Amino acid sequence: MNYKKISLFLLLILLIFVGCILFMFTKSDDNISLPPSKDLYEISTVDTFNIKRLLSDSNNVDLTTSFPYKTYVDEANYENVKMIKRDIAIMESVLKNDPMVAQKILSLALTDSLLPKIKNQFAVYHPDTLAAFMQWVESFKYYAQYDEAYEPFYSSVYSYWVTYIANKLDEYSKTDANIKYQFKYRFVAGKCKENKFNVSPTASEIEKIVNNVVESKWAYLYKRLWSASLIQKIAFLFFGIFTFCAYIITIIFVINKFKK
Amino acid sequence: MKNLIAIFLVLSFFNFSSIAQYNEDYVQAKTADIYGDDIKVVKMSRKDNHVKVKYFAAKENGKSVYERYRSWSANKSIIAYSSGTYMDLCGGNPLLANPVGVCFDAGKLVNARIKDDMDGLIIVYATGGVVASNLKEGNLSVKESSTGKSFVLNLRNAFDFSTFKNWAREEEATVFQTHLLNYKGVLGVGTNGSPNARERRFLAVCKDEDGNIIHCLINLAGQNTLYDATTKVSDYLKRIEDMDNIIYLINLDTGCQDIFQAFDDRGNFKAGFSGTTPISSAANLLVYYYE
Repeated sequence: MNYKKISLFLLLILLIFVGCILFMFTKSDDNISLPPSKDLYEISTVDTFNIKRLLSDSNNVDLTTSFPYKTYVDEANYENVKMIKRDIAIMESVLKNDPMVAQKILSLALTDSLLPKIKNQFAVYHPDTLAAFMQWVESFKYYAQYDEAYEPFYSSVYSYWVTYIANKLDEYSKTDANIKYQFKYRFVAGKCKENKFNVSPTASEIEKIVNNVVESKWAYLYKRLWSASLIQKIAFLFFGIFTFCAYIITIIFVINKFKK
Repeated sequence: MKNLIAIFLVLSFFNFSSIAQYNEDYVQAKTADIYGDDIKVVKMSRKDNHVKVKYFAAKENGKSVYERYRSWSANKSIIAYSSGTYMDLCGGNPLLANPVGVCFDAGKLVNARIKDDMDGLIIVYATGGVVASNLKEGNLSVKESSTGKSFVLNLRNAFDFSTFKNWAREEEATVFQTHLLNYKGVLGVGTNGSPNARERRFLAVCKDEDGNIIHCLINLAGQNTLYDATTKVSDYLKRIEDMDNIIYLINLDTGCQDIFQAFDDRGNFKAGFSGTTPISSAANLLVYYYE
């Protein structure tokens, strides 16, 4: 057997493997510049919207169903949380019978009704859009901490959108399992996690194998091998033969060297 | 000599009594064959409230689930335990893993994120009872113990979910989310469910012909898709176990953590009633005990 040829062949495979890893490095996005936070004076204070008009337009019998949610999200300046708070206060002064109705209605408006309007922005992974959106969402968390009267409203809006962002992060990682290593992805995921909205990005099959090897879950790997597809079994077999051959050749090479 | 024998018999009797972990009238562990599949069933009756449930949702204050279980179970008669819901970091270090889906551990928030693709919300009460709700129906009924006030909540509604979080915190409830495979006799999984054929484990809560609530931990060691396993188990419960109706059937994790162990009435490991992952690797744990 010509060991030199086999060694050269193995070296070639190793070089291809290293080349693939280097190619993956070039593809990775290591940009760490996040979109700047908006200062208070930068948030729009445009105030041409009058919620009283919407209340008079809608049927007062059951405002939860008759409220024109779409008109609200189209016309109101919901970027500015202070203005939303003002709208709740106006609604409360009109709807005196149930103090929670106003909060419930605007919670619905700024969650389920707002979603169709903005969801296209998140159709594909765009970390800057996610990070900027997270800033707006987080403002509700801070308001919830300091404005006890409207805490249910702020918390509900905050919770809804962080859940949405966490779901999106999982969804993006299904399309490309490598994005979870990018700084901006991890930044937004970290924001979710620090508030107990766990992000569970998809692990690729190779990552699962590596994780199980690191954790020495040999019995589990052995069991999974038997239920794997034919291609996976062939890949395992090839990997096993390759590793075995590499060890044997190395041992023979060392023995021959000592004999000489 | 007679006295010695009498003392020996008395001591044997007391010794026997102290060893017995549970009354077999309430707990049965059996092996069955359904459509060529070998299944293990731990069947427990909630009649007279002897059989209870405890759920360890996550690690707490640096203590792993296994450590928490060990200190809690010191004076308990354990019937069986199993991994509960799914975890992230599949295959990774279980001590770093978090549960998937909304989760509270005795009122403490573990994960606030509701998973849209899992309809089963399970609430384990401190009293040892467990109930399931179908999130798709949006009619979870909860009661505030301090005021006696009841709410009907749709957790897919942000405002209601906020109310639920406050309720869970105040009531120190343990909550987790998983796939609801059968609810009130209606299958919750279709042929388009997970196509992966693998070992499966379920918790079934049924009502028998006498109106008693029966809990069954069912382990299918064979390779089944989620749909096949669900239909087989539902059929088994109806035809073989003569259950009047299936209240709910939920999926338990056998993928990232395959933890399962049943005990006989002496507290010994029951042979064949085991998973492949050691309990020390538990990221969460559903425990049945006898009191």
